[in-house]
Amino acid sequence: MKRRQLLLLGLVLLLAAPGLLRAAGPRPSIADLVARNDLKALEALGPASLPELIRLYRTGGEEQKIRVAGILNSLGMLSREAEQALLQDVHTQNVELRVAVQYALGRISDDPQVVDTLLAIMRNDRSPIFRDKAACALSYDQTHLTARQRLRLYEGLIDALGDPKRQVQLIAVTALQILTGQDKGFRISDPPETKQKSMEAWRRWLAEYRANL
Amino acid sequence: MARRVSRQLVAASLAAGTLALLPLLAVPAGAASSPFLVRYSFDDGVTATGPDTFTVFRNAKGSVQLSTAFHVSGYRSLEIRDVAGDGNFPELQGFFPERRDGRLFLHFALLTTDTSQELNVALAGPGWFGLREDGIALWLTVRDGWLRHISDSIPKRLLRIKPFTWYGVDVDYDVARGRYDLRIAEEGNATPVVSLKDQPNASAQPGAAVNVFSFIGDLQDRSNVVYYVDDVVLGSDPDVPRPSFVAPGRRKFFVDVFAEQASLFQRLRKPGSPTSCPPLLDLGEVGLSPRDLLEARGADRLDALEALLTPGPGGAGADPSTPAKLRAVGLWKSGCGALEAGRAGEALAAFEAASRQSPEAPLYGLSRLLALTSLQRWQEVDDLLVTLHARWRDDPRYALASALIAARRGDLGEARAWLDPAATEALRREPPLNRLAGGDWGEDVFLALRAGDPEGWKHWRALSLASEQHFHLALLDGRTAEARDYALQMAARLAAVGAPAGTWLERAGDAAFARRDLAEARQLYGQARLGGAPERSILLKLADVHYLLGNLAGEKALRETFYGSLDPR
Repeated sequence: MKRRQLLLLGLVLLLAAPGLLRAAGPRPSIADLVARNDLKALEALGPASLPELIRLYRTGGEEQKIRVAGILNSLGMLSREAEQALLQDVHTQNVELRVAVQYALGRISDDPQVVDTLLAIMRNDRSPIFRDKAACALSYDQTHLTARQRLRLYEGLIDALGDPKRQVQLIAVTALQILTGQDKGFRISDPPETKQKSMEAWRRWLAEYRANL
Repeated sequence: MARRVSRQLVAASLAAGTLALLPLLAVPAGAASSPFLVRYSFDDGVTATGPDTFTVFRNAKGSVQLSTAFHVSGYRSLEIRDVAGDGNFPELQGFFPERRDGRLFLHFALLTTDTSQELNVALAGPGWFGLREDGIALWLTVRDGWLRHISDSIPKRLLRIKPFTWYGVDVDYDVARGRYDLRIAEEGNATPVVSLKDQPNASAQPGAAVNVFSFIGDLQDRSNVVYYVDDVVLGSDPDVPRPSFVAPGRRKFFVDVFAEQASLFQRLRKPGSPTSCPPLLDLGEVGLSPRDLLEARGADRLDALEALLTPGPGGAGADPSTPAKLRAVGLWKSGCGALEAGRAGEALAAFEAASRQSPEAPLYGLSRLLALTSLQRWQEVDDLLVTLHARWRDDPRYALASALIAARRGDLGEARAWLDPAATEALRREPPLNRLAGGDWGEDVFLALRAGDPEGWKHWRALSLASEQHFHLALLDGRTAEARDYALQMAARLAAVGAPAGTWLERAGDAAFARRDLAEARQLYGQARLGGAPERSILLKLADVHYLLGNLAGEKALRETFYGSLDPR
């Protein structure tokens, strides 16, 4: 009889406290957290969440890939595996996925290959949108690069000032301006010889940058 | 190119969401007659903070707080402590009227504890902290053991920085030309370690506006830096005198702090000289927490609080709706006015009322002690001294009060009673008495004494009070040899009965140091450490001794040991 009363009491307590039931329930999976874009919970998991996030990225459809790439971007944790997964889609023609991948790469990697890839897209991709977004990624998202690693980035951007495509010149000097606060007088509408002078100023600057490493 | 919002800017802007405040001295922005736009010594007083003066961001697990651990001038510096991976950064930020031309000078002192951890110091404009138009003008950073400045958008090495060493930084900045001269002096080094002329500003932009400076850890949330900043001065007249930081360019020694108290003591002990309140060094001493300040800010009471905390008349007649802690500050201030005017009874009533309103504020107790001293109510003075001892015993303001009581009371004959054979025998028999004579005036000690000797315990208490006052009086009176000898005799007596003698050996060391007998001070501090004196204070004093002896390596090692012994926060 007493045991039965205790059981009843326990049942009543559980029914009266749904919070207790919830607390005792299974923890949400990483897939659940991704589905509801729960960055805070994913952040709390730290690097332990990376293998599953990468698996979800590799096995997911484009919509899931876009979501996971955005999450990797926000978490900003270095991961060579994540980089390799994202690089597989760095040339996709799905605009949303492409932009998400381009933005996320610098946030999860300090690999020179990422800078080289983005520089190549910035200069050579057929789509001006992807070129522009690659320059955006180079300007804002290379958060793990050391001063020495940035040299490669600056070299690429300064070299791009001489690109025959005016849009490339424009986005290159804009990226330089965002990164350094300077344009060294480079104006897209200037005649080639004036631009050349500015490019020489940038090369001198690069030499000084290199000398200070 | 379609621009996205800079994440750094977002991070910096978000930081404003966790605004906190600290007691700091600022020259009000726009003060017409002052060549200083900003001047913080972290010692001299307090001010409200706000958009045109000073704000301190304490974010996530990091902190920005006043510290007595290291300082160049005065008693305190500002400690900035960052914690990697906590999603944020602590920041000390100061504002001043915008400048687009003319010249500015900036001076500050900096000491970092771990040179591998990143820290950043910047002077910026309305474009905020980025390399952009009207953004960062001056940018210094410590990373990977190097101090660098970012000039012409290039991180340039300045020097391999040493831990636990003060550096004095002086910048003369030509705003219109966007160029600056930079000099850096190193503690203990007679020659400037950096002397650069005509450097382009951070992004080589002439005429870039400036109106804010900032000290942080890092933006990437990877830094566990703990560093100290002192004597921040920003001014518009390059010829105005600045805080000196020439070799030895050293922080003030602890014994110099005593010397200041001694000077004040000489003034206060003169017949007819009015007693003044102990200076407020930390808002916590009047019971105010950062939360209280935030609430005061929310209620638009910061101006009123600043007025209350500014030395001078006033304080009475607070609005009844004012929170109890602020009313208590007002009562304390009016009491201080009464004390200085010689109305000690009125002052005592005000301090008691303040204590009732804000019981957690320790400064009101010390102020009551001074009022009771003026009233010569010695029994109450004795009771209060015992109550205050644990909180104040290592504070120079307590030493001053103790010496003042001794000077005004006159008869300290009992101070030598501890050295009598009868006392020795009692010390041998009564362990609580050992602790009492050794400087432990804890409640449990008195309870044990009272239980063991219901009639005689007050006698022993009186002996302890007299012996401490005797020492403080001799020390602050300049009779340092007498102070040292007395402390040594007390220590010897305690050691003879197997009692802890560390406190008295430390006091003997203090007196030897005050005499600049450095070898003896070093020896006594070493003995005090073995004798159970608090390690934290001993290590810092020993570091000062080693510095004066020219043993910089020894000093550095001690300071690092001290740093390692700080309680985790």
